[in-house]
Amino acid sequence: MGMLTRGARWSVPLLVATFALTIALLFWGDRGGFVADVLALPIGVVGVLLAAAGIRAARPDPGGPAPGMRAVLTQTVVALIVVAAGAGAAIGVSAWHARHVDLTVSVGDAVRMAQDTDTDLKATVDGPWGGELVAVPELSPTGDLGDCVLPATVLVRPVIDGQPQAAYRTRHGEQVALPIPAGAKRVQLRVRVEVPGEQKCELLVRMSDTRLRR
Amino acid sequence: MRRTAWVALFACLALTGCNARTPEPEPADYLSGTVPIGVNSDLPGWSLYRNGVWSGFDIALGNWLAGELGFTPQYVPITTDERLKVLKREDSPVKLVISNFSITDVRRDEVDFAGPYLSDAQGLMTLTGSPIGTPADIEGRAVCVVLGSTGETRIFGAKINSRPENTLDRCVQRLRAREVDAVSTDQVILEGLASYASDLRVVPGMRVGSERYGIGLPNNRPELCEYLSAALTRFVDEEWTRKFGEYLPASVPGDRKPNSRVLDPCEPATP
Repeated sequence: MGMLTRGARWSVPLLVATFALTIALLFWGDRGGFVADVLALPIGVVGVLLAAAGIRAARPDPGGPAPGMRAVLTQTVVALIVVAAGAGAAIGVSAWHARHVDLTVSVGDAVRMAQDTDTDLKATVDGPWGGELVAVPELSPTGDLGDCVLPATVLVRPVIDGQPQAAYRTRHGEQVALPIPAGAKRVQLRVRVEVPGEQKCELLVRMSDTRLRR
Repeated sequence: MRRTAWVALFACLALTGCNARTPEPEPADYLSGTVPIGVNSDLPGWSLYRNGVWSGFDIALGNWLAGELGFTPQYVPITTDERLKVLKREDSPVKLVISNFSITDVRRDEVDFAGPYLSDAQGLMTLTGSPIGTPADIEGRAVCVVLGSTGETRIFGAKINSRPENTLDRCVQRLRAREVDAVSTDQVILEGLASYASDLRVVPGMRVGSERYGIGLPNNRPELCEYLSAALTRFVDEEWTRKFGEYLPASVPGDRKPNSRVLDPCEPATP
């Protein structure tokens, strides 16, 4: 360790910590993206300030004393603590992820639906059911006429093991969250589109961003 | 150190990126002073310019909005086909369009709407004494429709000879000249026309589709849409019935009056 330059003694633990944080953010999925957005500004500021400080420190300082063995030892211990903390964080996040991260749910492609009629969509999940099924209905018109997409109300009723549950109302582009009990075997979404007026709307309905929040 | 801080700030802006989308004008500023509004100029009962005076239901709505929101309306005649085009222009000569403008999902791709302020269906008008009485009667017949209207797209699902014209006035001229057998557009417009002319009649019972009139706005104006929708709610609650009876006495309000509690949501701005 004594052979490392002063820069390396800082950069190695910094790189390890950054690597660990990146892995953790990747495991975090959407939340990781949000955390990364929030951290981008302060990290950017600190990064630039550190770079500026580094340039300043690189200037020759003929009058300054050379670092002693005690200082090198202190820096090495700090570096080891940072590495251990980074590794611990990565392991902790991985364990949390395994229990709590969202699971992808599939409900198939876009379906053509006439207004005021029920359509059942079969939902499958990469794991056991239990939690909140979130989905965002995306509607698109099938013809040139009609004011259908924006004024439409989308009713989504989960059908758990053949038993219809309470319906939830949402709109085009607005997320709906449906409670799904743990232990459910078969899950369907019964979808109905209601549109004001006698417009006889036909719409393509796609449930996007479907996930099981646990 | 001051230089370092500036470098840091500049670098951060470069790292995080800037949201460069032009902000929407404040609705109250946009609708202030003299506000040019695109309207039809030849529709009795809706928007008619005669002897230097504007009158009709759409004009009444424009005047009411002006009084309510504090601006001076300046009505600009446009054709049906021009409604979308003028709102899409960067140097648009109008700020709003109130011109029997049916809200459709496809049109929402290009402009925004506040509304609906009236619901209707497509109808058919003939000369008095015409034998046409059912959709089957117009098979193979010449029917005049207005360019750029929803009626141009939907005509009763019948096989007809569609004869598009720039204005409804021109369609009526062709009907009177017996160059076409019928004219088709929104029923409430036809009723307005027929009420001013004894030689025209709206074919009873022939209604198809659904038209929902909205105020046309330039695209990506969610705040303006909310601003106008709030005003429209008050118009529907307080003025709609009186103005409808005043300008369209031959028409029945029926289900044409929208439910002011469930006007269309405003379209969010697209990035």
